[in-house]
Amino acid sequence: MNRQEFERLERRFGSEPSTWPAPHRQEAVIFLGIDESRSADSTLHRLILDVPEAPVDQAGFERAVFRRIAEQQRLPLLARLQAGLSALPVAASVAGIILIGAGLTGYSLAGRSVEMSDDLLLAFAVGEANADPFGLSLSDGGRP
Amino acid sequence: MRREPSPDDHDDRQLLARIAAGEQLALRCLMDRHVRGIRLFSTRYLGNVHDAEDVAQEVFVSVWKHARRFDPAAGRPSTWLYRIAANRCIDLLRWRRLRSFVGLEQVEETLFADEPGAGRIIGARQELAIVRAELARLPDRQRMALLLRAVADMDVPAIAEVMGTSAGSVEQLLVRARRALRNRLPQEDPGEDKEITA
Repeated sequence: MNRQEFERLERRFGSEPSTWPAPHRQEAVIFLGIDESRSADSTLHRLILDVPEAPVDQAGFERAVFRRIAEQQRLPLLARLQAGLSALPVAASVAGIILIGAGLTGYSLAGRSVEMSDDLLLAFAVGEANADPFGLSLSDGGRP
Repeated sequence: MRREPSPDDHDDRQLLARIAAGEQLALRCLMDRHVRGIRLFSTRYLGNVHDAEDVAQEVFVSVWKHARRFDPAAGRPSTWLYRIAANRCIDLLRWRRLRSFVGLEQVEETLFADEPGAGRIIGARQELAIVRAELARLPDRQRMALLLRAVADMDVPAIAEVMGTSAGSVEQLLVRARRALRNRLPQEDPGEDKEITA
């Protein structure tokens, strides 16, 4: 921060740097040399804050934000819902639903056939005449 | 634990109330106050100015859409803003890592590679270069806690609120992050300033 920038911020945010928004207020404190803390932590924070200032197009940024707002207001309800959802959780949810669905379907189908074969096996075991799940009836010469 | 509202909180609360009423000028004022902090936080967290710009824009779009949901009793406006930014950054980082995992993106190449003129401006300032490089290597949560402290000037309870964790956990994250960075910085030579006497 230099004198010119400090004065510009003073006009924007008022004469009391302690009420400025971060990180302007920390930078102002460093610039004014009123940072009483000389701890290792504050030195580290200063290094993190000490940013090479890239030129910032504030007006362009604002235009981009308002353009996004306008675009989102034009979207239909379903698209707005999709835009509000992050892609990764949606993909994970869909995959989860498919997996659970496949599991339930498989379980119900397999479960039904297991029940059937259980009944048949039980009938076969007690020697019921009609129960022959494997087609090995003695009368048909099933036994070798 | 809540901090007493400061004068800038008061300004931000008023601005959010006006944004909730649909006043675009109020959103411009809020952007003017906080865009630099949000941008700096996101750039340092993501290591990529283009993604950070995208996050910053999304934050203010989200503020415009959800300003009515802001509860002044529940916390400070800046905490709310940084919570939105932090969540966006986390989502973006996860998405980027997923893309990297499936081979669609080379994360290492984009990280810290395109900040305009950074290398030129840093020049010989070795400490800055080290801090920036080491920040990128810190675990995500340590980096986030440290950036919220250094850039957003938040106290521990506010950081805990943003990160959805306890104050004790934040303190641990800060201690570890600072220690990791300090260990990488060149140690000051205690004899450097002493006069050499014959």
